[in-house]
Amino acid sequence: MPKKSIREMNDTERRFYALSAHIFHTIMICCMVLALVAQIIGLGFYTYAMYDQHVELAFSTAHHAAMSIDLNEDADPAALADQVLEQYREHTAAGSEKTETEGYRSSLDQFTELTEYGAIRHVLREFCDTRGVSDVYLAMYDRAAGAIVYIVDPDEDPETMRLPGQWDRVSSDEMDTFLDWDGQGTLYDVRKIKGSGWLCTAGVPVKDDSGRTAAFVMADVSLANIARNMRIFALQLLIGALCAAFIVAALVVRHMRRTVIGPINTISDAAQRYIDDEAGESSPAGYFADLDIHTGDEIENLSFVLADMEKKAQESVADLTRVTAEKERISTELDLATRIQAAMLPSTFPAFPDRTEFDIYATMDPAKEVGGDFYDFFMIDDDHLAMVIADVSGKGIPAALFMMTTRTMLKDAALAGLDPAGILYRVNEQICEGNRYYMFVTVWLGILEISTGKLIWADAGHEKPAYYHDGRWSLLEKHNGVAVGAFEPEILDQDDDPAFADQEMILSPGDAIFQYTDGVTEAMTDERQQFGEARMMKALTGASSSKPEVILPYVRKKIDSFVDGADQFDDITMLAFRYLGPDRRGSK
Amino acid sequence: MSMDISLIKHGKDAEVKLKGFIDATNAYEVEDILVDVASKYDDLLLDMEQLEYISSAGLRTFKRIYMDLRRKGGVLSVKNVDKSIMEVLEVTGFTRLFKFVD
Repeated sequence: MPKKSIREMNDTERRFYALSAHIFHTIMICCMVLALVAQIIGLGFYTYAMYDQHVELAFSTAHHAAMSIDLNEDADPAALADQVLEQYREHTAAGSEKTETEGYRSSLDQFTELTEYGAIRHVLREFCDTRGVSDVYLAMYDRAAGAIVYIVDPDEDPETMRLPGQWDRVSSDEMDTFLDWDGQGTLYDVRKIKGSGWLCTAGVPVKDDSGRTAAFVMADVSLANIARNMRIFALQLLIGALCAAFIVAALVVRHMRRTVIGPINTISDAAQRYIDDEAGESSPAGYFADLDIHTGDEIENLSFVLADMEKKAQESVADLTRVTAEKERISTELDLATRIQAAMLPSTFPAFPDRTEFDIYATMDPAKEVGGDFYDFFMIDDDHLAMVIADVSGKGIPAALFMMTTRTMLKDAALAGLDPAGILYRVNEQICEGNRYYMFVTVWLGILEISTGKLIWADAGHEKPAYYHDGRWSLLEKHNGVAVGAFEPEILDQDDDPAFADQEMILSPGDAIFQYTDGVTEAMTDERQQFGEARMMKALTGASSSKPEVILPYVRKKIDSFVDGADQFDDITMLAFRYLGPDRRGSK
Repeated sequence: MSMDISLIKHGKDAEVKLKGFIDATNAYEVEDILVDVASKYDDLLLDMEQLEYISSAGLRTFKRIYMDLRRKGGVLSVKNVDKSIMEVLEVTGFTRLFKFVD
């Protein structure tokens, strides 16, 4: 297995690790291993057969030569052998080194003159020429000296020809094999001779009249050609196997290309086109759907599965596109709703540029797209200013819808001239009619009589207002009213505790009121720590002025630095109002 | 959901332990569960010992349960109301929904 992924490889490496190369290499290796095994077995049998054949050749040649000599009337090999050996012994008795002397050699010449010698030599010569053996000769072993003594050697080359009586050293193994032969089977010996390689020597004993072995007719067959033939055979087999393996591998690779690799490449090309075509526009029918793969196997199945997968992916994409479009539409509508909501609230400041008796300023920052909080202020008549701040239960569109209804109801009731508690009772009754979803709204509502500074206010489950007087801020105690819409009129008032009650106070010039929703006090850090009333009061005190347009941004800044980037999870709505005293221009 | 609700049965009445907080993000889930409980039992007792926080959306849920119970003559009681939760109930007037028990 390669160490890196195919994507990190260069072209050469890719070609090397390609499926076709892989198959090719595998088949080549398998074929070569098979060929090697076949070769080893074949060579074994071949060697065995050739060896037998050569031994047989040597032995039969020796045997036939012995018979031919026997049939020849002029030849008496036993007698010749005895004569030669006699001569040999005379010389060797005086010292073996002398047998190689010139004198010894000349004394041997006499035997070559003998008729018997000539007859035997002639026969041996014939066998030597016709049987394809290296040498056929007559010799005898001298066990005591460990030597083979030649008697007749038909060699025609005077350099290598052995004269009768000439001898060579031989191993005692060879000697024992021949001299102790029991006459059964084939008499032969195989050994390596320096310079001429493996040699098989077979012999047939020549007996005299008394049955004593006088000499051996011996035939040498060289085995060198067996080794040579083996090498040639091995080489031919190897070349043949290589060629066959190459052809087989090439055929298999061609077959695999057509049935496996080709289809796989087709599939991966299709997949690549699918990836490259991000928008899926070029082939609406799909890249895998019309792949022409009919292999009938797992690969065809793979192409079907991929086609199905692509179809499913296309459906998912279509779904996703639809859902995204839907989401965008909703988001756009929410955005629009936010704008409508914001536009409903009085948002131009200064709101009453021609009134010098008071300042008013308010802000509303929704947490989600549209909020459930609202503020409102309006002139009931020339001398009465109504101020409202409210928080609808829940958030989002339902809260916003409810908020708009409530706002209208509150304004209608206020313009009808009711006192704050009366307004709340009336709106509560209106909301409770058909309030199937149990929505409710906390409200703080105040009406200021501008000419006198008299402020009448009522609470409906809202936070306590902050009051600025004599240079300090404090929270006003309130009669706890109930949230508007939460309780039907019949369960509204309990015992002596009315649901809504008017509270009255006289504002001095310079006094201010700060009203807010729980989005201010319950603004949270990521650790769920709340901003709280105490921090809010501290922020109010810390503001450089009691002017509404100064207070609100300052408190907001303090909230922001407190939550330190945490998500705003509730609407933050604030309203501040400052009474400056009756109109000094006297234009009541 | 940042809310754990466990139910203890007392015959025909049920006691529900509320743990965590109820705000706009989970109020509807809490409501579904409590409405289901209210429909199966006569009276319902809410144990608010481990209720940490409740928003206006959560109050709306209580209103819904109260109305469900009231229609069939049942009573909605609470116990172990934490000071901060009590403050919310008082400020909004929601104390009148509940019968406070020890």
